[in-house]
Amino acid sequence: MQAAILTFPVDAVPQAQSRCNGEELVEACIELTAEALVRTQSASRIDVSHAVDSVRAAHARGRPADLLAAIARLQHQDEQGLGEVIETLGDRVASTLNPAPQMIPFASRLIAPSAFYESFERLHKLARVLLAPVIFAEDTGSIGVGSVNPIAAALCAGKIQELVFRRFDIRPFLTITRLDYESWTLITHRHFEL
Amino acid sequence: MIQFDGISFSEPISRRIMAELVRHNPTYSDLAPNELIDQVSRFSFMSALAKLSGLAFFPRVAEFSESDLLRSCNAAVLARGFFTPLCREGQDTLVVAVANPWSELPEAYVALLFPDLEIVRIVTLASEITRSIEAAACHTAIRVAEPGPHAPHNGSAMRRERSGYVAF
Repeated sequence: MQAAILTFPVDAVPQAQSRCNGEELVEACIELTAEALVRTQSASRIDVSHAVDSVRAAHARGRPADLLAAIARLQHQDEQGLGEVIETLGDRVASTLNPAPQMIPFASRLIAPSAFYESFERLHKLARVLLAPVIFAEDTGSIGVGSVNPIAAALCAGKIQELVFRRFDIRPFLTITRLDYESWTLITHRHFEL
Repeated sequence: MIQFDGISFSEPISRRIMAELVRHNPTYSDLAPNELIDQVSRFSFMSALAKLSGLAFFPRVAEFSESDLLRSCNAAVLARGFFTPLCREGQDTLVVAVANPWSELPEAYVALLFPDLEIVRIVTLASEITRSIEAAACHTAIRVAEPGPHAPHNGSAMRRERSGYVAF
């Protein structure tokens, strides 16, 4: 088993790469996640369709939401045990990526990269709408992104690579990791004041 | 052949590392290998190894290592092999930090000690592995020095701790 890094977003979803604003990136994330959920038989098309509507509505209200979490809530009404359902969905969605991103338990416990966010305000906004926080940034040469939804993390990583290259002529190394639901809730609250 | 932080890489792997670093920063293409190694940051170098081996890179891990896992290992083997078991993920996965992703020793050694756990490797700095091993040694030493109010009176646990400390 290997953790996914770097090139997935660039190689696998070139059409998403060229999308530059937050709304387009979110839409790309919704479409790709929906496709992965259906392809892995993790959810029915009807459930996916309902969840997509609720996620789009949340974004329209300025409240970022993730499709994976929305599907999990549809399938599992009880908040207790939701984390397990999300993890299972995350496993399946991750299996559609190569290499599949791993769940690393301490990934959310690294110091928040506030200097990186300040330097790349736009990336902070993109990470916020994708709910895929930057978990570390070392010299802008090595950067980590995490989420419960590996597709969201991969899209955010691709965007970071693109914008950093544009500014510094350096292609940063990107690590993509999965976060558990509880850590993800805490870290998105901490990074994005949600 | 590249040597970095005490780790030697074979000629073919060195060439791949160089190519990856040049891809990362095209200005490196004008540099001789030794100059490039002097200029590149540890984070970028280790990230290049991670990318080439398809593993995730984490810049800091020592704070997250579980000392009970380390106490099951021989510290000399870990230090020599530039790896350390870090923590469990769920019931059946063990995260192992390595500084040389092409070494087969970490998986072979850890699998022998924890045969029921699936091993997930991540790449980190050699210095983080050293810190992790040293932190476990300190933790063990503190436990020897300060057994606390619930320590057994017969001293058997104390002897186990002490032998663990010597091993580190």
